[in-house]
Amino acid sequence: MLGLEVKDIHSQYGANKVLNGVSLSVEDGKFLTLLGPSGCGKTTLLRVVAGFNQPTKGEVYIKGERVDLDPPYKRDVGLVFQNYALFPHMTIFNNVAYGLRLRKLGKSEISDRVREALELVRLSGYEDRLPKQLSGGEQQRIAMARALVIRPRILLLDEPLSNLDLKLRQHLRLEIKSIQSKTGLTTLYVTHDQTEALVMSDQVAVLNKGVIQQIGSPTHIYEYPANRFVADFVGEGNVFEGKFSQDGTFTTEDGLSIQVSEGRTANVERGVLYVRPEKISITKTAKNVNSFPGRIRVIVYEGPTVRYLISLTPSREILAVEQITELASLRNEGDDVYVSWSPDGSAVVAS
Amino acid sequence: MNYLIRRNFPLIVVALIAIVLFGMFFLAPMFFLLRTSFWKYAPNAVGARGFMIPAFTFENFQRALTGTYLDYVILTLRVGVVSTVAAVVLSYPVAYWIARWQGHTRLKRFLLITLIASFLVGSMARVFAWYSMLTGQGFINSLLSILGFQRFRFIGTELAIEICQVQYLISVATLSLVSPLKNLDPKFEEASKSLGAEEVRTFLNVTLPLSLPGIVAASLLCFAITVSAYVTPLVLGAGGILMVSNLVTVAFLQVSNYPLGAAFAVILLVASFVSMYVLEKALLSRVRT
Repeated sequence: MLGLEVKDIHSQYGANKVLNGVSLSVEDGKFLTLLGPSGCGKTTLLRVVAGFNQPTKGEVYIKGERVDLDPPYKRDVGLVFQNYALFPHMTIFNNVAYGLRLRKLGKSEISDRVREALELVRLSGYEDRLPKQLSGGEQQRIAMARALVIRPRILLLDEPLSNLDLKLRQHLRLEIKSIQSKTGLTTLYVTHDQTEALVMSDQVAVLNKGVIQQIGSPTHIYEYPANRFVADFVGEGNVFEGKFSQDGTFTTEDGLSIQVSEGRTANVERGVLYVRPEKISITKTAKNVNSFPGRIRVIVYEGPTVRYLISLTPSREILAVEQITELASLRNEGDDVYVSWSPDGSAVVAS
Repeated sequence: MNYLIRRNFPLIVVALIAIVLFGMFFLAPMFFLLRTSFWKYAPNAVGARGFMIPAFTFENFQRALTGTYLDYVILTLRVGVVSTVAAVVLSYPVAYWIARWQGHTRLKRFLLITLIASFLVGSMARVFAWYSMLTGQGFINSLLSILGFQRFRFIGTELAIEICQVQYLISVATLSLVSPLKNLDPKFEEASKSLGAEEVRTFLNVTLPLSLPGIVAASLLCFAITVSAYVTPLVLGAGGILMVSNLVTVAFLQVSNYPLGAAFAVILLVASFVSMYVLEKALLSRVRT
């Protein structure tokens, strides 16, 4: 069964088309992330599902039931906002109990379920505090508890980690993911952070200018970008423009000839080839395939990894990232090296 | 030390100017008023300055808070409370509509301009306009008689004062409620709705409590304006009704009893401070973020 399905959603403010025929579906219990730059329409789509934006056209189904004509309070969705939106005038207990009271549950059931929900987000004992007494990360977990306690049909998260600092973000990513798999809730997650999308999701939908560019698993999105936008937006890449011929050779405009595996190419004649920096290996001697001489120009030491900017030709520089397994293996500026990658290490998309 | 002074010199100058102005035009008059209110009224004493002698006494407050004077003080507070409540209750929906409803931009702008215009009309013009509307043959009474009601003697009643005050206060309250309602993050209401609360419940559970600080601020403004009303009771009270401001004037200008006048003024001030404190304690301790 599908947990969530949206069909051909159009949304428009005046002349501004925010969503232009978006369709997607999420299998029951799966985690789908809407990934895209700001203004791509991802939040609008989430708000259409929640019922706060009326689409100009299109349908929304939650667990097979059509909901796009229902008001938000009848949709039974759990919603978590970027700025938490905990009710500042209510204690944590009352915040979490809010949805349960509206469902007219008995006193003891309410307190049992609130306790369970707080245990789930590991904030037991916070019942009597006010939201302002909690840190940002704690507030966000309470917001999760408040959304989950009503046992919604789906969970919607709108950039929930964007206001938090990096360490906390990394921690909460895993926590949200684990809560999601524990509860088995169909989840729609909105973010502009590609790492978040890759780390947490079962499926990622990359959105730009109100149109879905690609839907797929994180690996698929990263390894087989469907077009230039996806390749640029997700991860880093060295970009070569050129021609592709059917024998699997990509010839760049500055004359490099690159072998590309089958299945790594779009069916195009002119295209753009992407090589991820971590797929590039640096060696003293040439390898058999896709090996090009160059000189190390800039070294950026990042702790676990090091980034090399290597000039291949006067007009072409290539970025490579290496793990630092031994400090002795660090290279020096000005070293003459070969950069190479396997035919499986690059992808060609339409330009 | 020298270095600190030099570095912060502009700041120190600005602060000094502020302190001097505040002291001269606020603290000093306040101090003299307070001191006068505790001095002894002495119309015939030899060597008295302005019919009073600097001897500490509670006499003035005793007089101000007994008998007819007390009635006037209570009336003032009552008119203050009634007008404030009526004005805020009537203004809130209007402000809510202006601040939180989509669309109708032109109508909203027109309404805001009307409110500002009505706020800026001089008190004399407003009071006499109401006087002519509320007299026996005035617009309101004609309307009442057309509708089959008895004509009513408005002039000289509390009601007349309250009607005129409320009309003015609606502009004050609406204008001061619009911006706190506008600044209220709609995410709170959306969170409430997503949890299952329909519009009315969301309003009562979330919007209203979160707009309390704005309501309190508007109420205090309305209350302070009303209890210090002068022209309105003078004209619409038609001599039958006096409010504390009128008593202050009488005490200072007609009977030259400065200590009593000062005592009335202090009572007004204390009433305003107390109402501020009570509202703050009763309503806001939780909501403030």
